[in-house]
Amino acid sequence: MNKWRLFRTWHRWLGLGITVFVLLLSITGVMLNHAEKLKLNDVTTDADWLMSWYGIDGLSDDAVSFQIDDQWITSGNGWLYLNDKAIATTEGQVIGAVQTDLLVIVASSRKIYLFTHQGEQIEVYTPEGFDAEITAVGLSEGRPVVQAGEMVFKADEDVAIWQPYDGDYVWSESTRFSEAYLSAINQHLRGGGLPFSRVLLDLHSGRFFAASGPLIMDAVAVILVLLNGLGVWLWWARR
Amino acid sequence: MGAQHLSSPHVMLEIPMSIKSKLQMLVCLCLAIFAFANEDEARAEKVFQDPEVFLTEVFDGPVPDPSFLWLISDVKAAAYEILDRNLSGLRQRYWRQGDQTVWILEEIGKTQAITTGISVNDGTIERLQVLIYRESHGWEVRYPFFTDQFRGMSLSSEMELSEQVDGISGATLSVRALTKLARLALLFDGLVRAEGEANE
Repeated sequence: MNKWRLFRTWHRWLGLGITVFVLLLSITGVMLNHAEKLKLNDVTTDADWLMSWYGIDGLSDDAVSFQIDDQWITSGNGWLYLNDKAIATTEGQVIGAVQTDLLVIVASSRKIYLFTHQGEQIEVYTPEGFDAEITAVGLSEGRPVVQAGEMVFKADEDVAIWQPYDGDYVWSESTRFSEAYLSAINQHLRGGGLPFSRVLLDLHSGRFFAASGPLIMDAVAVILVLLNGLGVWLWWARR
Repeated sequence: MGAQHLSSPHVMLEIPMSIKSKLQMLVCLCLAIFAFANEDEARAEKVFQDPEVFLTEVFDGPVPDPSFLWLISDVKAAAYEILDRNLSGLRQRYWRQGDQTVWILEEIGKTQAITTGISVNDGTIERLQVLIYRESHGWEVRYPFFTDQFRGMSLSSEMELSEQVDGISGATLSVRALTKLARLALLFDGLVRAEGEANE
């Protein structure tokens, strides 16, 4: 086969193959060059599909809330909220929440979280003497009780020591999270949204599409360099 | 060497077998790179000793009821000097018997918390034990060859340990975390004993 025709064919097909990538690189590159003028760092987006793509989700569907008097404890995405305020990160599934005269007590399967009524953290600890994970939390005569395995334990007045208990109690029950605080909670989970420049940079580098995207863009760049050399050589040889 | 031909009505493309096998190798290499492009550190919580078992061991029998050190602003300020971060919570529980105080403390190594039990007797560290380790690297700090060096250490007036801690290559952050916890336990022990003396 005529070698010129062969090289021109390779040049054509390689060029066509990377057209979309070159367009993407060019458009995003020009925009990034003028990022300051276009205020790309100041413009943010919190479109649901984009935040999900980045894995920055809002409150998950399996989030739960517990009403304690006129306040709400919401647990979701590894965070604990008192109304709209993030008060702690959590380990394990949150089982329930109760409120005494002085304290807000939240129980996960392995830990006890103590807060003031204003949401200030007092202590987080793993209670001693439990042979099983916590499965329920409630109140008995103004003091918190928890169930761990077959046994029920009641706390002392400092909520420091738990003793076996066989009296009456009322368990905390979960409800769907309160919509009133959803917007504020999502704002906390998602931050202020993504700067547009971040999205453009990730598109430009290929990182937007996959962790291996930059390698693909590197390959496109290599092909572009080859096409450049091949094109110049084809022109030079034929002039 | 033979060659294969990919043909269309318009194009005859010759690919020698040696180049084809090299291309195949290149594709495999690329796939391997892509496969490892998303390297993810596996999380694995290792419980080396249950905290309750640790308490039973250090007290050699019944564990006393916990006491509390209230984390007032002065205490938090001193803790900040050691930890380089704000200490959360308003109270820190500990267990005490005579001149011995025992603390279960946590500090983040690289990304995960290391739960550590520290027994302090008469102002010096009696025992330091890694109880729960949650990271995939650096767990060598749990071994006695590392933790034993904390025995006998006290806290200087500058809130530093009385002796140098020998690190472990590849576990720098875990070593740093445990060193901070040792200092913190000694600080807390000093405050508790000072409080006790003031109340006498």
